[in-house]
Amino acid sequence: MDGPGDDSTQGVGLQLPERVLAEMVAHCLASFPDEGCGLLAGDPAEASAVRCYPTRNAAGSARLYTVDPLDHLRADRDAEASGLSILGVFHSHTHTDPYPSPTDVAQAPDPTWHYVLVSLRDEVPSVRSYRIVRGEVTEEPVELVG
Amino acid sequence: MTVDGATVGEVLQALESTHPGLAGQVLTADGSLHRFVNVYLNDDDVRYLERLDTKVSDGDVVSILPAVAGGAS
Repeated sequence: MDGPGDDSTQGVGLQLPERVLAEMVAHCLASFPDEGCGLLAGDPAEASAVRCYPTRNAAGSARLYTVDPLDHLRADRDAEASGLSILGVFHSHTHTDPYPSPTDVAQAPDPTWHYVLVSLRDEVPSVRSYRIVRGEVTEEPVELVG
Repeated sequence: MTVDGATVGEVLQALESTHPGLAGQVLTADGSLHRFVNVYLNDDDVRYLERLDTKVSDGDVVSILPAVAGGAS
């Protein structure tokens, strides 16, 4: 665990409306065999991802993703216009566990973000959420809300 | 927020004075744009314009976004 005073890893986890979960998984399935990716937005005071922004994978790869920068800009503007902020990013691992890879950890840009992984390895997709602070990965609970 | 500046570089300098440390996140030691940051003038990536020398006009919007990437490999 992180030391005292590091509030960014504290908290109750990520709240995910079932509609957002469905949009996220649908986008990852539609992107297959490439990794699918997108951004999650919500009220920054509450760790609730009320909006899903599917984005293009600019890397166009089954093993890498890059959120298309212009899609990121549009999502950021749309969220801001709705009084929301980008809270995190999701992407799929098509053949591996839903756990951040060394690449994911090395490139995680924001310690306040939620990093959501969608694994398509098994028949039923599995979804996990993590905080990544200074290279330290901590899984957080995902609470599905109606 | 609203700041003054004739170029994207000047806008970033103006932001550095109100948000110390920002330039260090956006620029490399030699003063060019960090590769893990995307800077937009309105809808255009300044890398495809004149980078930090890109001219800005009244009402233009400069956006600074982290590059978001990763993957299973």
